[in-house]
Amino acid sequence: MNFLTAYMKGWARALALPHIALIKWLHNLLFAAMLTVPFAGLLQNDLDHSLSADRLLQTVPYDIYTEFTIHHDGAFSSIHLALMSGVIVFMLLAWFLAGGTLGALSAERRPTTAEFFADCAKYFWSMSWVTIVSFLFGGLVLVLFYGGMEWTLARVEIWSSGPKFPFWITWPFYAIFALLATFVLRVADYARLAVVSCEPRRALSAFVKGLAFTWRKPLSTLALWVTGLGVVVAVVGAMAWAQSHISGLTTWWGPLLIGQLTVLFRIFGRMAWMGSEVRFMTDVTPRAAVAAPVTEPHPEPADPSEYF
Amino acid sequence: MLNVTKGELEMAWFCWLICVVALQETSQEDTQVEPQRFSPIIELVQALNQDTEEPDSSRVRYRIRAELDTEMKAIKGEWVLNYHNASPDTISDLHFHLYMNAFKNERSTFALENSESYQPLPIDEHSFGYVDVLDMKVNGLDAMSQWTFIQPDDQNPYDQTVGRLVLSEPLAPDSSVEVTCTFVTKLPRAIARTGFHNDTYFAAQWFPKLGVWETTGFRNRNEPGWNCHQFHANTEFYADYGEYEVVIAVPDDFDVGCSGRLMRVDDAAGSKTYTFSAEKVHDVAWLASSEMIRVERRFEPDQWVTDAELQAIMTTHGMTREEAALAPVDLIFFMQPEHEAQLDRHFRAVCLAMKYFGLWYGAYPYPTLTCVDPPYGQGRAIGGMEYPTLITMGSHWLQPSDARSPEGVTIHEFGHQYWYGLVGNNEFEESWLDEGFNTYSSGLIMDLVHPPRVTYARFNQVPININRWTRVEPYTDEQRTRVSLLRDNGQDAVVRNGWEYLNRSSYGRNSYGKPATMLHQLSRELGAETFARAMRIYANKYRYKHPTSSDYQEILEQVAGRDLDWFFDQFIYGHKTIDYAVRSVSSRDLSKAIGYLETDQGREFVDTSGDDTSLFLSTITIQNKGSGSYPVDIEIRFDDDHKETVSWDGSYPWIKFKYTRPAKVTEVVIDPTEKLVIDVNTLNNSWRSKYDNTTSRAWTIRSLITIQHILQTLSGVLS
Repeated sequence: MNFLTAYMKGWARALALPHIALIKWLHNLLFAAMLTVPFAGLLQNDLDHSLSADRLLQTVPYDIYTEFTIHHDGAFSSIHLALMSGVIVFMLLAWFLAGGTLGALSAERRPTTAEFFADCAKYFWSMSWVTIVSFLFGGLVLVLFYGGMEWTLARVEIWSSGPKFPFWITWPFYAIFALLATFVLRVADYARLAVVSCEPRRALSAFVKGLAFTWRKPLSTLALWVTGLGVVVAVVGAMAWAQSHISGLTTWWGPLLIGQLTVLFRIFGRMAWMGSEVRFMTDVTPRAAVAAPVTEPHPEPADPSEYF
Repeated sequence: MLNVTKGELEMAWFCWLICVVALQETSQEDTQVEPQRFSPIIELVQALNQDTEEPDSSRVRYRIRAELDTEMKAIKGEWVLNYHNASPDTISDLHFHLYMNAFKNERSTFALENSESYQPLPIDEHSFGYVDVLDMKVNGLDAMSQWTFIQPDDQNPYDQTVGRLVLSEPLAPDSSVEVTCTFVTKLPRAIARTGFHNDTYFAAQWFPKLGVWETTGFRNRNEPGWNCHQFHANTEFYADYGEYEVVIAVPDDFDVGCSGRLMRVDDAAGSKTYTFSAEKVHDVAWLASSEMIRVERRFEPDQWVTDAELQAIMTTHGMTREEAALAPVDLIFFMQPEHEAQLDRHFRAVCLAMKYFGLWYGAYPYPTLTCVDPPYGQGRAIGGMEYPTLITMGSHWLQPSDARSPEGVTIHEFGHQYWYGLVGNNEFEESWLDEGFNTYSSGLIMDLVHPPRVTYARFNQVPININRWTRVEPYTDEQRTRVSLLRDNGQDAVVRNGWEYLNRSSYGRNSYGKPATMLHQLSRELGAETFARAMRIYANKYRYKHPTSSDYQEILEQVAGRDLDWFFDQFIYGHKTIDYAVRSVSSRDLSKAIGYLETDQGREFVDTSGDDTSLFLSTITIQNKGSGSYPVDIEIRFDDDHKETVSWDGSYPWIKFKYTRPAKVTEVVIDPTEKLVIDVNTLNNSWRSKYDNTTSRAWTIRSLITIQHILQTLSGVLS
């Protein structure tokens, strides 16, 4: 199966699971709204009866920006705390939903909402451990590379001749950085997919499997990443452009509607991408080694530490 | 609504000042005639200018010999100091600054204040420096037994940044003394405006330097004495004007730049000796490097100043062409090889600064200016600093053309040639007179010659345009400096000893941005033209002198013909704030009355609720949420297009205005002309009856969607 076919199948699978996309969207919207409310209160208090409001409908004059941020410094501290707490809870829930989502994408048939949540609970621990291992690996690789890049660029500054040195000299560094980030994130994807594809149960084994798969198919993995990300960026970008250029959409409902559509599209896009990675992985890897029916879940160990 | 910022208004005024005469008087003949001296203000300006005393610019005379030891990272030096007691006092001792001892150990006052307020000294033997006085003679007689360290500010026994030499024979008025000193200065690794980095040595505050004798009444003193403070984390310098002859010996592969003029270079086996001479300066700093590129250019006034610009200044200040004219200056740039390509930007910035400072505050009087690009990675340690006729700049690789640096730093540091160099205020005690004045003046130039600045963050050295991503508009320099006022919010006064502010941030805010905003406020209060005249008179009258805040206030009051105690007491010596706000507005419909009313026919029960006529009692409550007061105008607009403008002195926490009119209040605007730049919160300066949440809703939605995308990105990493 080539990456394009896998991607199309991924989309077909994602579109067949609208209730999961809806759950993820509601999860996203609810938390975002909770995090926005305090900021909205400050804005209303300052602007709704102020003539200053006319000056910052589209852009923010620097003086208004500084006054707003400095005078609400105290409020921002508490908002910041709430924001961080909210994001942590959101991430925990996202972590919880991951198992169900990947399980649904891997399954042959459409799971019910109840089955979805059952999968969420079932894979939670395995998914947690494999994610932690993947993140540690990814973090290590990226920090090493970032540090190396920083050091190299500092040396370049010393030996170059200022702006005469071409600006694009840094681009290869960023291209390599992007490739490396892609690689470590794909390893994490495939490791998680290995968990929901039934084998193996242990985090390190799943991680090694993900690493091996990414290593075996680097070009196809890259092509799938470019396609998945490219489609989302193109569509979301087009929507944002339309929202800012179509005068009829500049009222409050226009941005709100377009904004929700873009978020929803990103959710579907990510599901399609992961769905395509499932197809791709299942197709490339010998079925005997990877794919056992999702409908036959592996038994959970009594002690979660057994996963590691 | 006039949609211009205050910075744009100020910029427009100066553009007008410079350009209007050019438009009106374009003929060559006209530009050659004396400007008309038509106003009493001009006459006053001339009187004040004529009142300028001859400066005592030769109170001290140093002849210094220095030899750079690159192995030891040290300077072996000796000087001969001739000091003339021009005061009516008999002086029994001499006090010397030994700035380099601030870096001697972790117990110096500088180090203790540093670790308290910002960065601790790094622990490394080359991080430390000192100056050892090996020998002192007075009029040829050994005086080392009379040499001690003193700590006039904090009695810290470990601090050795001030030395006292007791004279065996007190120095009578109008007599002189010759002191000779042999010393060794160990340079630290680059820190606090001095030190070495690789093979670049920047020698500043490097020799024992005499303090300033102040007589009773001078700078508001109650009794005569030396003004010679210890070196603090937040303070800079103060010294007498004089003549310097500096001879510097370095290895022969080194080049040297120094305050003053290069008189000659002598070659010897393995070394070179540079001789510099500087007059009417109060300090000398130098640089020796085997790594930097030396480029010489020249500021030619004719290439930068148009005749119309000169004419406009002559008219404004009532001067002759000779008085207003600028002089050519030799510019010596020491550039890091990697920044060589930015030389043109630095050169242009220096020339623009020379032009505008020269036009506004008098011509730059010295023949040279040395401009030093700090070594790689040392911009924070020794970049952005000023010494007489020598400045250090600041730059960065890949600096976009619309970024604030390097132009902002270069113009600012050149500006110190005026505010610090020529007008030598005490930086220990009144730092706003140099940093605040210079922030104001260099900011005017930045706003005049550059578009608003873009904010850049750096990701791995690569600049990222923040404005593009946040919808926050680029800033003018006036807007930028006002941030200090907002952040301070009455925490500290502008005038304080440098080591007595709440912390380093407060020192910075009250020395730079906040006083610059106060000067903008004074300009608006007195009128831009009057203020510009006063600034020039102040710069002229106190050239080569040591003025105080009260001297400046006196000049302003004389030129403006107004008492300004109310302003200075509140906002310069005090820490008052202004925050006017519309607290509440109501319009009560009086025509809808029901009850017993006394009329011509006696008491009547009336019910006018069905009448078509309208009469409203409008009550507007304005609040002063700040601690100070400032006269302000308030514009009240009614829905029949009628306007009322009232004034308030802000002396009470609130005021109510009541109007009985056949129309409701629709809008209230405090300070409609945007004169009050020191109001710390203008968001609450207006009110409109029409509730309109278009903007808040738009930004709420933008925020919501941005947060949604951030959350989706985070969760997308997981599934």
